Amino acid sequence: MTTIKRDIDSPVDASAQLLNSDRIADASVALLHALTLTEHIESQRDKRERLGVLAGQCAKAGFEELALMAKADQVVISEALHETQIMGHELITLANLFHGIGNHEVARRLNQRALDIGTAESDPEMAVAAYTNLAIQDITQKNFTSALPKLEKSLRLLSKFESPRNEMITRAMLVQASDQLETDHERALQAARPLFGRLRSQLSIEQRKELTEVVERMAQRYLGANPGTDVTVWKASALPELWGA
Amino acid sequence: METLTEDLEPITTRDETLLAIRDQMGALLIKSTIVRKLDSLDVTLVELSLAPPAMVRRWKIDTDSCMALLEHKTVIVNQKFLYQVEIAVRSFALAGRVTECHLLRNDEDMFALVRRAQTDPIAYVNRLRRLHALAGTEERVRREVALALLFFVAHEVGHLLDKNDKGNFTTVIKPEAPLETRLSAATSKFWRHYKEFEEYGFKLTDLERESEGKVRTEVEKVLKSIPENEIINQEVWFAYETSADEKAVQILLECLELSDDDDSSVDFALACKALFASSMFSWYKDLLFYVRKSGLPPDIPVNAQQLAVAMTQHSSKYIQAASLFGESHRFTLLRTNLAMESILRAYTDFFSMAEESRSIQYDGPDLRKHVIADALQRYYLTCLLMDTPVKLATMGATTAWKLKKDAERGAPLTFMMNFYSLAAEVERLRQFQ
Repeated sequence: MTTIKRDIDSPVDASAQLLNSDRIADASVALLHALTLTEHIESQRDKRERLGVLAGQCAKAGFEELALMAKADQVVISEALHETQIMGHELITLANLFHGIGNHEVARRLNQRALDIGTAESDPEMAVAAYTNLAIQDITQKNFTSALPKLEKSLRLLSKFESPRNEMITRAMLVQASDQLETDHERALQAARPLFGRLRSQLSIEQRKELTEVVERMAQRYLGANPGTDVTVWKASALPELWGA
Repeated sequence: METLTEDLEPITTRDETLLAIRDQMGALLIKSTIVRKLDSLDVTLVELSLAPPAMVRRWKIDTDSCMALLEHKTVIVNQKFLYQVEIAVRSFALAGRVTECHLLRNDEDMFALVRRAQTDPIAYVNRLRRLHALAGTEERVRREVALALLFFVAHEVGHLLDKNDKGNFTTVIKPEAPLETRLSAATSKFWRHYKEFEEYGFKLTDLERESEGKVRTEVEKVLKSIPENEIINQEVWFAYETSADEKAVQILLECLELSDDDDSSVDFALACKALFASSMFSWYKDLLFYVRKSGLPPDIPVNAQQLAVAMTQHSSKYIQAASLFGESHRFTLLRTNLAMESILRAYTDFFSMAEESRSIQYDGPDLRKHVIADALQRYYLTCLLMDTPVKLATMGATTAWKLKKDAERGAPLTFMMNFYSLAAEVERLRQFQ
């Protein structure tokens, strides 16, 4: 394994140097060579681990096609080893890669498969990732009505374990989808509260700015529909983490 | 004496996926009334690299792509070529809409695909097959490859119907052949392509008007130095190829119309995608080979800027660039562009719509509108990408005149032509309405 690992490291290192010299095509051939070398790793688990690293390196280098190939090989190994839970998580990464190159149809199919596995295996983390991804795809296709129940399910599952990043993404999506639908501001603002409280550190400055604009818009809509409301009191009670004293 | 089929048996492809694709293509092809004018037709996939030289000589089956054997009513498809097509189609099919495609972010991404595909085509195609099986897109992508193959085979059927078997399907630079060095041959070729591009509206400048006829005068002088029968032969071969292309489009349209598939809207879009993927791969493969063969060192990346620099160096570069236009075919991207336009005219009302109500952008939920917008975007991208070959053909056609002016001046005039990158063209596509 060590010798093969060294053999694989060599084209990976070469690809990094080639990328630095803008030799994109040569770098991609080097990474393909590394991918081919993984076939010599005897232990299927070791091979899967190396493929995972390689998939990340390929994606980072901008070679999604090679990343997809590495990830697909991982899935095939996990399936053969009957390690369904691991496979489910790999399917989610694979789905994200397809989503990144605009193939939402395949991304949806793979996320759905991961969701089925997550549900069958009682793996809430997997189910959350799949639900949220499916909702993101709905939102990308402007299907906000379909996104909302998935995000709610995701949020319910998130109460069973701690995953601040996933929770931040899910809540942010829920707020944005509600804003687009101009519906149930109360629920949306309730979902937004942790984003300006305990999950605040998970948000980038841009995300915080964007979400603040969204909730401000919601508030304006509510106040416009309910004239006579004491703005300060209402805002402080609706979203104290942002508008409180 | 052995029959062609018996003799070719040892080199007939054993790849079951390719055979299934061939059968799928055959089932579509046989529905064409044009194809049925032939009393018989055999399509044989062969691994030509395994063919002994005696076999190649005996049956005259030297092709990098596909060829028609008139006497045997047979179309030979080189397995190596079909792998390239399959890789191109499968790679493009991984992505969604054209503006998000990982292969179209820049020229380097296309060159990278070509290089990866050339490294070990069978291993690469197998990886792509595994990926599509996992993604649940295998059936659709096979149909797409079958439609690409159908177009190539239909072109050869065109030769069979026209009773000529001169050419092969594709325009490729033969790796073993040197680049063009003869001004006369290059001028003849460039002038023919320049005129054809102009005929279809792909025009950089009006050479006649701009040069007050001086370019044409020089072209005619050069053409006079070529034996007349050679010029006639070239014109006849070009006409053969053009006729075969036109029959291929007619056959393709018939097969799409008569397809068993319920959703013909998907079928026509798949055909557009297949043609787009195959010709993009072919063009970038030729371009990469040309730029490298014309002297760009391997450690210099190939891109639009490097092409501009390379073409500025000397008039001989334009003469060499004639190799990019093949022997006697229409230019690769033009034949795809024309085929796609015919499909889109047959299956959409886009071209009959008032210009102000046309759009190639669609972001809504209607699947058919989405499919049409995607096919139109691919079509318009081929229109935009015609810019580089049009520039090459136009500049190439002026080479004789330019050399004359250089001689009069006593020093060469440096002229730099800018070429748009793929990224720039995709960005322009995004701005289209």
